[in-house]
Amino acid sequence: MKLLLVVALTLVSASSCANVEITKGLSVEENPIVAQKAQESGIVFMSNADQYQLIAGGRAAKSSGLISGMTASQSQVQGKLLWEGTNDEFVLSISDHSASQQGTHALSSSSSYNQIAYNPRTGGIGVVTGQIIVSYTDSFDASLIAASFGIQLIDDFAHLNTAFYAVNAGQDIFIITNSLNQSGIVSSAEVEVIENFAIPN
Amino acid sequence: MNRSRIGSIFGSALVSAILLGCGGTSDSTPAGASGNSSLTLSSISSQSTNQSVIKTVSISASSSDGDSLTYTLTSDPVAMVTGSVSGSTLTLIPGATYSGTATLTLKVSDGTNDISKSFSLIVAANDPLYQYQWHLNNFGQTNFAANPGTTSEDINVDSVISAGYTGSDVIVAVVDSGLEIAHEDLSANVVPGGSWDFVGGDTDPTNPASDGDHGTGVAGLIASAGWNGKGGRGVSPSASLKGFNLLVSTQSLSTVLSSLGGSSYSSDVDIFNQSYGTVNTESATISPSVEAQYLYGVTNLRNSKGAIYIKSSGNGFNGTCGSTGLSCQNANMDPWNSIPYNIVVGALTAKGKKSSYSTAGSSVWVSAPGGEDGDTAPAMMTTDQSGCTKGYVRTGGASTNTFNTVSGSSGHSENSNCNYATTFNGTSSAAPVTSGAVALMLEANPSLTWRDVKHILASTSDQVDASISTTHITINGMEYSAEPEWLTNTAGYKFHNYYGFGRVNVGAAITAAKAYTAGSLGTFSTSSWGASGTLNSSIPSNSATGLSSSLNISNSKTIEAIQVKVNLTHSFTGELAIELTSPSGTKSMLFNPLNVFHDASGLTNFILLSNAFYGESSSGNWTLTIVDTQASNTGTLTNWSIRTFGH
Repeated sequence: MKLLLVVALTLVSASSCANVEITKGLSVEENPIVAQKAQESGIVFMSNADQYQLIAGGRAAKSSGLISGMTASQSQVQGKLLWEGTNDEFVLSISDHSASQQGTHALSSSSSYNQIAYNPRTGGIGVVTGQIIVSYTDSFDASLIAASFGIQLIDDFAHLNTAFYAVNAGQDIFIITNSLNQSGIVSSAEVEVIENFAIPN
Repeated sequence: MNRSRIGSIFGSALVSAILLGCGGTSDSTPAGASGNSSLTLSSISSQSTNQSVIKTVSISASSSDGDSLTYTLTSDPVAMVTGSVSGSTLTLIPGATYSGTATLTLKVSDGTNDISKSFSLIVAANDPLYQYQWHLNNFGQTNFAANPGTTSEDINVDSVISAGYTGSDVIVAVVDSGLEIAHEDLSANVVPGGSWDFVGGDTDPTNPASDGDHGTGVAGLIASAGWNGKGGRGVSPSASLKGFNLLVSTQSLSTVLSSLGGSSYSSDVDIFNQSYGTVNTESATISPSVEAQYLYGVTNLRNSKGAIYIKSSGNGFNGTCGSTGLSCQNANMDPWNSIPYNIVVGALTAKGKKSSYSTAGSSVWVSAPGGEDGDTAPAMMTTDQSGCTKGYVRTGGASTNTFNTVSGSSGHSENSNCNYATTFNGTSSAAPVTSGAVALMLEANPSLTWRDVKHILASTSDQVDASISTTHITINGMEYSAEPEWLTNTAGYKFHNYYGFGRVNVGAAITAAKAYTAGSLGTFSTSSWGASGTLNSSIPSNSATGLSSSLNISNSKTIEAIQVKVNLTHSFTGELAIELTSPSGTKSMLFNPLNVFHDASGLTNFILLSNAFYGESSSGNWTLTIVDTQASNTGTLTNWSIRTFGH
């Protein structure tokens, strides 16, 4: 189940939610906007053995500070706010800023925000970190993989045969991940999603 | 309390030819004044030590005709320093409250002649807030709460400190929300450039938040610098600190791996303190890469002796479950607690009972002071963000006792700069207290492996709350033991889901560590999963008998931990109890009923760990019992499996 799946789902017309008011306060499970915008993106992928749907117009921002590299203006939600929630210190939001405007390639290293994804199994929303987790074999080291796919090596844990990559501007993280999986030179590759955060005790 | 404090450290070293406190003499050299004997005593140089910390000095004295020698030590100020001589070692014992420069005079006599030498002993100042740190020395102080603790309900560390163990050369990582590396009571112990800030990509993880930094409080409990005249004292006051601010990062897998020994800046860490947990949901999982990093850490770090991973059990005993008397969250709900490489720690009050919030479960290894709220019952005195404009103690902040109150721009008279807080608590406090204790153990015996440390803790911790009774519930008119009392397994270890093997006893642990032959547990191995195969057995509703299923393990090993993996369907999993009974009859409650889980989707590959079988043999039939304590919801046990860790 580590293969990345990119599945084109039936797209829901953007106009169908044009008049939806902010539904802050409803849980994720209760909220039709979350599932609707998850379907709207048309992107389904596997991460940490769970299936996620990218949420169109969704983004995450740290409530106690901006995500590294993000400016205040960049953290502001674009478009009409449809839903707000939280996951740990992240403020999650969904706006009607359409998928076509946002693009599915937004998760490059130059992105100024984190996207979010819906987990139909748990009903939860995870934060897409923008990194690709690659488990590699002894035949190809982490740097060679980066060079082969034109992506950035963020961190390499050679003792675990695990490396982390980010895509460059103009690259689509899902397509790159799919290509890595199909290449035969890595054991697995997946877009990282964090759904359960550690909190102080 | 059956404890051996200072007497156990050096009582046996004393010899009969010692006299103490018999008055002063001036420095004189009357050797050989009469007869033919010649008596000598070499000069003693100026010495220094810390308050209440014993100092040993080599001396040289002799009598030419072989007469036995007796010694007398006097001090100025009078009686502030006492001492004794054994062989050629002079042991100096500063009074518990004394600091300053004492002039000491040692007189040696052969029965006919005597000779004296004077020298100075500089005793460094105390830590002014140490007096409130009941977890170090509990004499019934309130620590600014309304009610006091109970005398001696502490970790028995002072005798170890007095003997000179302070955590030197042991590195402890605070994997947390930050670490104020310039804090006046921490900076001396912070490894320069050794921390990592995942947010800024630099080596300063100081938290910019204004409402308190959890990591800075945790760090103080481990290694607030000792004898500097500031603040309190860490359990290991000379241990080295590194901070990795994982909790304020994006918490990507790479930051987790880096924080737990996977990066160059963390690979030299001896002890990783993890005062955090995941939100307890049925869907919470742990990445296989994190588990692999833990395994790598215990296998390869510390020159293959294994890093020590210490983790808080959680603060979820109370919650939305109602007043059942059972843990609302269970320690096994946090998948990080179900990793046998972690030492999971529960929290204790100043009265030596479970803290009200402390998450219970079979994955708890030991317990340690974590306190209560600091209002009605004592919390923990520790470091806070510096200054009165930020931190738990700050202008405009909530204050629950006088110490934490800020008036205008100044704090309490003993905390005028607001650098300390006295309301820190949680299993977040119990974990760093344990980390500090382990730092002392590693100083006492640097050869200890990660398993040796666990073994010594299990063997030396004190049973607390020994008379606690079983928590019963009624199921369909039958009494059911939903949280058993203390058990004694067939290997002789006492275990309770609240306390693990009991409260950390540092004095006993150091004594054991010094005598311990490192690596003597034998070769560690992990079995493959033994699986039940498909069962699809109905779990009887509202039945105290429940559903039982057995698996046989033929391979015999001495158990260090057991994991069970369960797949079941149920429309309200929080109603279920899950028990495991060993071949020798020890029963462990893996998952107490009436807990917070309410998902209708059952449990999928849900892993539960038990430490209750430590030391028992693995071979024979293991029986899993699922009890549905309520009538309304139903389910089936799909399958289960078991694996053992041990030697």
